[in-house]
Amino acid sequence: MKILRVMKPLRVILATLAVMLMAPALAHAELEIDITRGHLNPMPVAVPDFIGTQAQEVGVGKQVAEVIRANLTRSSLFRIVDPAAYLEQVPDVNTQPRFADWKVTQAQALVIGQSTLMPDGRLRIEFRLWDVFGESEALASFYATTPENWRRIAHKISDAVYKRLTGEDGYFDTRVVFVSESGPRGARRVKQLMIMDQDGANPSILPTGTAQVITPRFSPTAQQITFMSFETGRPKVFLYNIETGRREVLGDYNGMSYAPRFSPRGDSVVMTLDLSGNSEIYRMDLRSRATARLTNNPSIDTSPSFSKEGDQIVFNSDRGGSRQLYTMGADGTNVQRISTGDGSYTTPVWSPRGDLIAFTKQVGGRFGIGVMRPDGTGERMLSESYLDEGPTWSPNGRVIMFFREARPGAGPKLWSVDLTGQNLRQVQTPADGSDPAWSPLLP
Amino acid sequence: MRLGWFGSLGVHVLIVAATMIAWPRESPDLPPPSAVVPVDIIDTISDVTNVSAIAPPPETPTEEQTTPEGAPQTLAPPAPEAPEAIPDPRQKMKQKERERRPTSLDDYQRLIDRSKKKGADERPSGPTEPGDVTRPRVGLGTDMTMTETDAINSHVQRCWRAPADQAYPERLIVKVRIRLNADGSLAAQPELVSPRSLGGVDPATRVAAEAAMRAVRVCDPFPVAPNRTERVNAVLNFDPRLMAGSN
Repeated sequence: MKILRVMKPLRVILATLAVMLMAPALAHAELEIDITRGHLNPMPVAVPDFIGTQAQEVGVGKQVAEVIRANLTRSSLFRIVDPAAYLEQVPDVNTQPRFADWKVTQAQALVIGQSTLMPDGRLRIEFRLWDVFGESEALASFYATTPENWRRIAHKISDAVYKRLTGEDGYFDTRVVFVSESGPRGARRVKQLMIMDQDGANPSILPTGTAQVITPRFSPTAQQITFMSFETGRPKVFLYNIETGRREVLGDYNGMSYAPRFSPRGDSVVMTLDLSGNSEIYRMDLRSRATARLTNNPSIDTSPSFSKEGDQIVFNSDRGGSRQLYTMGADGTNVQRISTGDGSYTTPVWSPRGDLIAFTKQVGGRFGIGVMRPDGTGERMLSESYLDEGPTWSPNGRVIMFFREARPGAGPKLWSVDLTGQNLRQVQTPADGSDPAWSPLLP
Repeated sequence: MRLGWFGSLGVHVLIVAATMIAWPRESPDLPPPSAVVPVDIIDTISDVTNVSAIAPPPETPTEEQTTPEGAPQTLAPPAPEAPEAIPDPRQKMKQKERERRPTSLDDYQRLIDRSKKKGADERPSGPTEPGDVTRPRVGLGTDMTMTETDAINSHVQRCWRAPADQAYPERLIVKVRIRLNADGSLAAQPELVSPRSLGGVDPATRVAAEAAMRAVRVCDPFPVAPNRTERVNAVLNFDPRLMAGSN
C-alpha cells in the first residue's frame, strides 16, 4: 500500500515529464514543403489616373499616371492592369482603398496619387503604394515642383515604386546622350550630340560645336560628358559640362585621341592615344591632368572601360590575331584575355553592378550585343542583326541600350534590351541615332 | 522485487526522455523561433472569414529623395475606408473562390498533372478512392497525404513570382508558416519564419520575403482533400536557387 501511495505522484511526474519532453519533438515535426519552382511573369500593378479637383490638376494627374504606367511597362517587370477593369474610384489619396475590389482585378500593387495646385503656383503630387493582398501601405511620399516639371515627378515616382517592389534602384529619372545623325551618308553626314529623357521625351541638341562627334560617354557622378570630335581636324577627346556648357579638349596631344570613358568616381578618364602610329591606352587624372600609359604593345589596344570598383579595366586588342577582350589592373598590369569565342569582340562596357561585361560581337557578317562575366565565362547574346553596336548600361545594370542598323542603308536607331534578352524595344528619337550613353540617376 | 520493477521502468522512461531531447537537436534544420503573431481561432467555417487582416503600421519613408524643388515628405496615415451600404465584394470573391476550389481527387490530379512533364508516372484517380486514405502520411501531426502536399506545391508555384533574376539568389530563400482550415482557406495570416522579420534586412531580401507572403495570400484558398476534417500547419520553403541555375 505504501508503495502504491508513492507510485501515484511518481506516475504523474513521469507523465508530465514525458509530455514536456515530447513537445519540442512534436513541434519540430512541422511539415515543410519545398517550393523550388515559380514564375517570372510581370507583376500586375494598377495605376489609376491621379486624382485632381481643378481641370489642370486632373490633366496633370492623367499625364503623370500615363508616364508611370509607360515606365513600369517598359521595364518588363510589371504589367499594368487595364484601367477599364478598375472597380473602385478612390476619392482621395488619404483614403484606404477597398482591397477586395482590387484583388478582383488581380492587381498585386496599387498606386494612388493626387495632384494639387498650391496657392504659390507650384504643383504638389502625392502618392501611396499599396500592397493589395497584404492589405497594407508599402510607400507614401509627395513632391512639390513647378507645374512644367511634372514629367520628372512621374519618373521619380516610377523609380520609388520600382525600388520598393524590386529591391533595386530604378533608372527612370535618367537621360541619354547620343549622336543624332541627319543628311546624306558619308563625309557630309551631320552628327550632333543630342540629349533626351530615357523614354525619348524632351530631346534637345547639345551645343558642342559644328564638327562631327562620336562616342559620347556620361560621367557616372556628374552631369558631364566626354566625347570625340573632329573639330580640330584630327580626332580629339573633349570634356563637356551639360549644366554650365563649359567645353575643353582633354590633352592637346600631337596625334589622335579617342574612345574615352570615365572612371567610376568620375575623377579620371581612360582613352586611346595614337601618338606615333600605335594605339595605346592611357589614363588621365582630371584634376592634375597627369597622364599615365597603361598598355605597351605593337597591336591596337582600345575601348577601355573601368570595373565597378575602378581596380580593373576591360579593353579590346588584336594582339592575339583577332579583336578580343582583355582585362588588366588599373595600373596596366596582369593582362588576361577573357573572350574565347569565334568572331571579333569590341566596345566592352563593364556593368555598374560589376557582375557582367557587355560587348559587341561580330560573327559571319552579323553583329550582336552580348554579355559575359568578368572572367569570360557565361557568354550569351542578347541581340543580333545586320549591325548592333555600342552598348551602354542603365545605372542599375539591368537594361542595355545600343544602336541598330537593321539592314544595309537603313539609318541607325536606338534600341534597348534587358538582361533576359526578352524585352527588345526601339527607343524613339527625332532623327537617326547612334552611340547612346546612359546617365546616372539625376540628383 | 516491485521496487526493482519500478526502478527499471523509471530508467527506461529516462532513456526515452533523453532520446527525445537529443535527437531533435541533431537536426541541422531547426526552424528559428518565430515572432508572436496574433491568431484568431475560428470555431465554425462561415461564408466570410472573421479573420481580420494584420496590416503592419504604415511605413514612413525615411530615405531622402530629392525633387526639382524641395524634398518629398511622408504623407499622413490614410483615413479608414468609409462604410458603405453596398454588398461586401469579399463575399462575391469568396463565392467565386469556392466555385473554383477543387472538390474531387480528379481536380487535384489535374492540378498536379499540369506541373508534371509528359511521361511522368500516372497517379490513380477517382473520387474518395480508398487507396488514397491509406497513402503514406507526411509529417507527424500534420496528417497530410502526398497528394495534398503535391497539390499545394503545384498550386503555390503558380502564385510565386520567384526572385530568380536577382543577383545571388541563394540569399533569398524565404520560409513562411501557413495555417489552413479544413477547407483549405487561410485560418490566419501567413507568418514569416525566415527571415524572422522584414526589419533590418536588405531590400532584395525584403522584396523576396514579401513576394513569398504575397504568393500565399494570392493562393488562398489552397487545395486540400475534400474529406479533410483537420486543419493544416505547414512551412513553405521558397527557394529560387534551382530556377536561377536553370536560367
